Amino acid sequence: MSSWVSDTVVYGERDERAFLDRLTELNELHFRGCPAYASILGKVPRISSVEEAPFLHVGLFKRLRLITKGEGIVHGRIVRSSSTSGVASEITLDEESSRLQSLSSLRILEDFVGRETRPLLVLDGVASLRSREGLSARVLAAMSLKPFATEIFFVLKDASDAASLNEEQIRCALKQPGPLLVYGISWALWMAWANRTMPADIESDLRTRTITFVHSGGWKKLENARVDRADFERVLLTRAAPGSKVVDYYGLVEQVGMVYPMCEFGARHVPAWGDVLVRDPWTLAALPEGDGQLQLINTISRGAPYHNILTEDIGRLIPGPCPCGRRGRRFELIGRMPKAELRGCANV
Amino acid sequence: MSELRFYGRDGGRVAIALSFSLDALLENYETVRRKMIRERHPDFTRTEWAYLIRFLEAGHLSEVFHRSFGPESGEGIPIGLLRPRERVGLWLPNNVSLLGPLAVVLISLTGAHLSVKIGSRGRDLCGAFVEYLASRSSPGPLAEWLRGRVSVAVFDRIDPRNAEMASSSDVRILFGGDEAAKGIEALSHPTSSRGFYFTHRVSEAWIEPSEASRPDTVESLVKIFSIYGQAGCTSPQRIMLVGGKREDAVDLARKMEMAWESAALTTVDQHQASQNFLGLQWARANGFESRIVGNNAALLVLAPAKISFAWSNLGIELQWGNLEDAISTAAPNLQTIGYALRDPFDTHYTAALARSQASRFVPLAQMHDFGPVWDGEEWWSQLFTRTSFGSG
Repeated sequence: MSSWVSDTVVYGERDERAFLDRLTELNELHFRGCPAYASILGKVPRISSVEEAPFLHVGLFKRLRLITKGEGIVHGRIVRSSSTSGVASEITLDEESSRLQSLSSLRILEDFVGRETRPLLVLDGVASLRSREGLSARVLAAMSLKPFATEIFFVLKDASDAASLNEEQIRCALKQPGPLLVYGISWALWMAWANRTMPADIESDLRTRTITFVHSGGWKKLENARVDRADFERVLLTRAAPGSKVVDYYGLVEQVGMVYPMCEFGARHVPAWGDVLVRDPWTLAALPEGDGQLQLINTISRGAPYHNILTEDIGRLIPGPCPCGRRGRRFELIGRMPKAELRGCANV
Repeated sequence: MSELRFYGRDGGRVAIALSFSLDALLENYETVRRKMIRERHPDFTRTEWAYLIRFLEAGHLSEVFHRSFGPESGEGIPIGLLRPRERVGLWLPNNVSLLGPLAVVLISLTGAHLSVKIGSRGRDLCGAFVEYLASRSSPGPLAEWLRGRVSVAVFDRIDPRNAEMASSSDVRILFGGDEAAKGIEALSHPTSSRGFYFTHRVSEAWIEPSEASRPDTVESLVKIFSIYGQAGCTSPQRIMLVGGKREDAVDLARKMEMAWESAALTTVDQHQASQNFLGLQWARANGFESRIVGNNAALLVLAPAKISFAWSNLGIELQWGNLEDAISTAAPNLQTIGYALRDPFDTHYTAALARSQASRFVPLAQMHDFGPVWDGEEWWSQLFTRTSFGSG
């Protein structure tokens, strides 16, 4: 299975038949091994196209702990989403999938951040690594950059406080010469790094470094703070040497290992071992064009049926080839599905 | 201009002293109503606007007096004189629907000074409607009341204005959660004042299988549920097929599905559509037979009688069982039972109701009707104080 991920051109032409076979095999694996999935589907699906493949609503993972049992599937840690609603999604990882997912994120990210290793500064607290409640999606995202790190520096004293920047940790990182990799969720990267004054010694050193900033997470808080993408990137790059760049990637905890960095032309590209569809929220019909709900598909999830997920994010497919040269399906992420006000009496 | 009006007969006649001409007020409302037919305030849905238009009919507003005090009668010897209490405080939560505007209209029939507290989140339908009324009403008692006796303010539950409102109100009316009600009741208030707290309640529909096959039953069900779904305290949280079986629920689900497109009063937004699909999968994962109606417009979940569960805001359970099952699985905070029964006043239904917490038992189509009696409270008639006349 790993050869599927390791030997395939990340953003190249896909063998559609092989992809469909893998999807079919996963559908059957989860149907046999996950009673809740079988109960939802009712019968083993027979599919002749990706569009026909059954998908689960992303919200199910907040309500149920779905697990697929089967020969050779060894479950391990649980990864939880960060949650603004108070209820987190839970994904139970398994050994084989974890290996594939690490390989997947490595292959995708190296296409955007390069292969060289450098100090990785993570805008999070080191205590986040030791949480007894499982692995947070934020830490998992940071750890996906581990293969590109010579050493990892957690540069917040308190993960919940963006103002608690640990300047000594930054100075330690700066003892290593050369470029840097900085990761944070978008809001933390803005609050803890871009929108704050650094001590003069750190500031002057950073301006000599080529920095690749990697961030993920929603824009809602940034929008509320009236920060748009152009401002965000401009301010970050002001405090870095020429040649630095900002990589914004989209990913869900329910799609571990599948990340969708934005290319320089604003598109998010789909790796060969995954697919993205857009569906009409009312009819659930697959939409070749126009806005709709994003459906994310991967062929690397065996421990639970999170291989085919209908998200509550809105996006659209982008037709034609991308000027960046990456091939395969690409899409634009528009944002979270808007929620209308629920009117009632007193109980909402 | 003030007037005395008489209601009730045969030794039950009361005189009501109003500080304005009721006929002129009703005429003012009719003027606004005619304008409402030609235009819709953008903050209101079509369904909400249509409901308001019907609510403001002079006959409907007059009915409030009749239902509270009896039919209007000529002058005669009354047994009591009723005077409106002077000041009313109305607390509304963030998501309250039409209850705010409707309560304002009913309170206007007394001429009392009204202070309305609106939640600091959510769209303010009440303030919007008061402004609309003020902008569209002709000179007369309605315009004078709105201009001189009504204030609407937006503030949160810890604002000191809550205490000011409570201490100055002769009647406190609250729609909201239990905690909000406790908070307002705990504030200092006049000992002679009244408090009406309409807190979180749920409703359900009771239908006999023979009635479930009637097209008007199915249409009523779809209409009343589609407006607010699980968020409405008078929307059915479940449909109980009394004396029914699974096959009856399957049949009713099929009929609701067929009727949905023509009978539903609202269209769902994409998030609600998505939540219905989630609810479908969640219910199936838990072993419940379920189906989507319309284009993800609603979710129907079939189950034997049990404590009902909200799989999505526009998801409803169709349950079956006997009358005992209906009572034993009803919500403890039951407000309204909407019925489609051959003989709703049969003794065994009355006996069953006696064991429930229901405060309303009305035909399906009347579940959302708001009036002078609410949650079993005769709140509107208590906006008046009474001077009793005795012969001895």
